Amino acid sequence: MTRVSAEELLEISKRYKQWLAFQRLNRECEKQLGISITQWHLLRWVYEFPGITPGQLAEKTELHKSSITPLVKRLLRKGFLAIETDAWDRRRHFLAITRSGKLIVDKAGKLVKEYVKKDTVKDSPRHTGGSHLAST
Amino acid sequence: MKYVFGKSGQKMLEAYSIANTLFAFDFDGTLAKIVSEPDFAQMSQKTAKLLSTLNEMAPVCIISGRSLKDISRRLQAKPRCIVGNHGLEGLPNSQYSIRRAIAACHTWKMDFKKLPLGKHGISIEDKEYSLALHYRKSRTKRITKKILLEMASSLTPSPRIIMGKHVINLIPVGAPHKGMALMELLLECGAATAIYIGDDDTDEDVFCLPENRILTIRVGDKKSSRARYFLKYQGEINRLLEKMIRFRRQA
Repeated sequence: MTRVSAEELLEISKRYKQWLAFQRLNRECEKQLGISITQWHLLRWVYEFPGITPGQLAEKTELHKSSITPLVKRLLRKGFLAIETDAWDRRRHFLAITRSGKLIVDKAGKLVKEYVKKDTVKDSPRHTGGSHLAST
Repeated sequence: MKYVFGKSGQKMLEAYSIANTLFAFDFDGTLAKIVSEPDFAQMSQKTAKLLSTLNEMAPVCIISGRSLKDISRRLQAKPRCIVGNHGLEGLPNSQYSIRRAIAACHTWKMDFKKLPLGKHGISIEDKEYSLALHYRKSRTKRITKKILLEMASSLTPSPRIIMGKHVINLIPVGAPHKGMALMELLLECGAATAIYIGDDDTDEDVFCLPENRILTIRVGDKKSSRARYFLKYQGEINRLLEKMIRFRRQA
């Protein structure tokens, strides 16, 4: 059997906690604002780079192109995104954020910040007994 | 091309205006009306005021075909960057092209000086790094244009010829153009996106850029133009500036 070292265990436990925190944040975001963290991430990119194409968005967010389409469609339905077809190449589409999309990006941003802050406090050695784990 | 004040145009304009955007404008025919005497071109008081307000809120750049000196004295507010001579003047890394441009322009000017151009309503505007042959005052514009083009194509070193509104621009080959200037300005200003408004064929260098982070707007609808949006006429520039300012404020 492959032995897992204490450092590796510590790393796995850290990542597991991060994953749980992410899940909590995702649920909170959906409950409060009606969008997932992935959707917020996508909106943020469109906000920073208006005119981005879905293909470029897939590259930037490291999501597969096939998963971008339903996400974009959902955001278009919610009115957070606007789409425009290239007059010279009808296959190309440009995405842009709407006013309500910008509002949601800001609100979700605040929520994420609060969560990250809370989680950093929780993860500190005093709260988790991390110092004890680290010493073993 | 779509009308910029249409439904999708407004949405795109808003999205670009609220981002980290550089606002770039051509001068003649865009910020200022085209006039019969190029020397009399100037912005209206309202346009100047709106441009100055926008300049306080975001980086504003002017990319013009005029010489840097000429364009600078026509602007009341000092924008972040001014680029003259179709992108040749005002950029930090263009010393080599400038030296070559001066030499080429001098040779062309000498060739044209031998001809009685004034008689036919042609005037040469020497912009030091490029030449502009104005034929607005000619009575036989079509013939004059044809003759000037023939002459321009026989010059050595051969120039890059860009047609304007009753003007033929002779630019040294290999010199930076408006498109290159805008890309460099984007880097210089640290902006992620840009909005560019122009009216002329020289602005097609920007409109043609394969960059969807640049929102291109042409003054006047033209089928062959590569700009994404258009304004119906120059007078609409004030409405556009007002919209940009409003979007920016709301953001």
